[in-house]
Amino acid sequence: MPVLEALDIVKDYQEGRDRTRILHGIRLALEPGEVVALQGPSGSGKTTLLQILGCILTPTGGSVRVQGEAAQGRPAVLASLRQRHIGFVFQQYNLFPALTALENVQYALQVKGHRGPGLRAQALGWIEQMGLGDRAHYLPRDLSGGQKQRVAIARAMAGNPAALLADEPTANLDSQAGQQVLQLFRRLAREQGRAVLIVTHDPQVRAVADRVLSIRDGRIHA
Amino acid sequence: MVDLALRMLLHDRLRFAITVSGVAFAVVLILSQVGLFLGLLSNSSVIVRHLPAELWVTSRNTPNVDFAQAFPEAYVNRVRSIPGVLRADNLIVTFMNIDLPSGATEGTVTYALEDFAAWGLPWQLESGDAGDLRRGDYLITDASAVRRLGPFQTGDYRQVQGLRMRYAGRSLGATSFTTTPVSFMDYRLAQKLNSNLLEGNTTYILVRAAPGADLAALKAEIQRRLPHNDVYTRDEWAGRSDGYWIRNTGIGLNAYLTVFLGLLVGVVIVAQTLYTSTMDHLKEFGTVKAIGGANADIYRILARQATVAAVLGFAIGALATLAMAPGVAAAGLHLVLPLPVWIAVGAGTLAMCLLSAGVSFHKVAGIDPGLVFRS
Repeated sequence: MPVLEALDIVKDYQEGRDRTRILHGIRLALEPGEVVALQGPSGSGKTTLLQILGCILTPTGGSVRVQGEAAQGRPAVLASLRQRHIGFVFQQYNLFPALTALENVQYALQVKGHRGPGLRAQALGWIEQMGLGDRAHYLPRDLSGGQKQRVAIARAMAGNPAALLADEPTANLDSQAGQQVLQLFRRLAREQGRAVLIVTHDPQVRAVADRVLSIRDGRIHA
Repeated sequence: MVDLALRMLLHDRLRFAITVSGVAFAVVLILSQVGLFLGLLSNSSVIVRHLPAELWVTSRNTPNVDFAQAFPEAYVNRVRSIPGVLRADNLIVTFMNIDLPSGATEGTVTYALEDFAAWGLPWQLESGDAGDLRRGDYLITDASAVRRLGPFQTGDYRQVQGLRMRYAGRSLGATSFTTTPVSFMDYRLAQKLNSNLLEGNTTYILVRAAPGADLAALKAEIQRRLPHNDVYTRDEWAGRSDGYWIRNTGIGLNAYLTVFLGLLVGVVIVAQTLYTSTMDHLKEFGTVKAIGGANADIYRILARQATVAAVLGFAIGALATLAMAPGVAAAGLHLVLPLPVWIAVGAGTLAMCLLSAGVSFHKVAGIDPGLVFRS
């Protein structure tokens, strides 16, 4: 069963009096253990598709299934799907600047409803998996771009989501740090069976992706 | 547990300090004004509340305890004859002039009884003996009168209504709303010194009820026998005296206005700082939503921040108010802040801060988690 499945996704936006179609009947399935790269020029609709697959946006037409569950209904239903099945990694990291690396991960666990004395150890486990055990108590401002992104990945992994959705995760990193981050995604897919979708312009992604999809004018070209 | 709300607050310490200062300022404003208001009010009825008289007989429509009017002193006998009255005595409250060594003349509101000991008046003496008031031309004046009358000691002489009198003591805590000094002297002496008004007259009858007497029935019976007088219970009479000053001096309106302004200042400062803080952290709130948080999670963060600001602001404001008390006392005023006022102001501060956070609630309710994808 696909972790994420998009069936004939259509998305329209209202711009003034005009209605613009951003996505035209997208069909896409993301299998466990698979790394899929989604490439396309700016304005092609790739981030919109990512948000729909991540249950942040609702499509104008078509449907999304997450681990077999239909992603539709009230915002609380979509929030619950995000909590249980999806981890996000952002271009700007979006770490909480007031929290340490460890606390960023721990807080994500709290938001996802995890409680109990083992929370801190669990968060530390993810931080260590990202090779940042010695930086666990650093604030984001004291970390390099690559380290921040690895903390962001650890946070996305908190709660063991089946799918990781990354939006331009290497855009703010140098090539070496970017390579490390991409290898991390590959490892998470191979070793832990997570489905990873990476929206990117980075040509390095081809080296780690199982599939590279190209999107242009709201349509996917394999 | 990671407390994101607190960590966010402490991360921007300057803004946090401004928020807490705003709350503390509002608390000081409200507590000091309410305290001064209650302090002044307590002056107006402090003697009424200290006297062990359950009922007060006054002349018709006497507005407050200081503005007494005369009626025949023989009325006291009608009261004494009523079953259920344990004791009834005449009390004169009247203004007298006291000549100061400086050559100036000041007024003093004088309480005169035949038996001070029976009524426990004055209830606290700094020096001297109230029993001496029966011995001749003696008076006791409250120590707080030093501000108006200049320094005086037990044994000093002053001319009162043209009569040379000697201080038999200094009382403590006997004050009047107008800050006019309060004195005590013998009942017959007071009548003699104000004979044109008081010869054969009194201004009040103090009534102590017998144990187990029905106070309402007793009051009604006194009223029936003295149809041209008014009869009040102690609380009614103290309330009437307080109410007179509240209504007729604008002090009540001033107090309400200041409390309102204090709340307004607090709401504006807290709402403004919390709102700008919310705006600055929109992306973080968007992230909370993107990782699966609901609006309720963000409301909790804002409510916690408002609560922390309220608790800290209240604590600082309360300490600052207490620190002001000696300075206020040096100015001849005092702050009266009973426990219910602390509780009400504390609860009001919390409500004010949560109300202020409501503006931010409205903003975050509409956060699009998609904003975290924008660079």
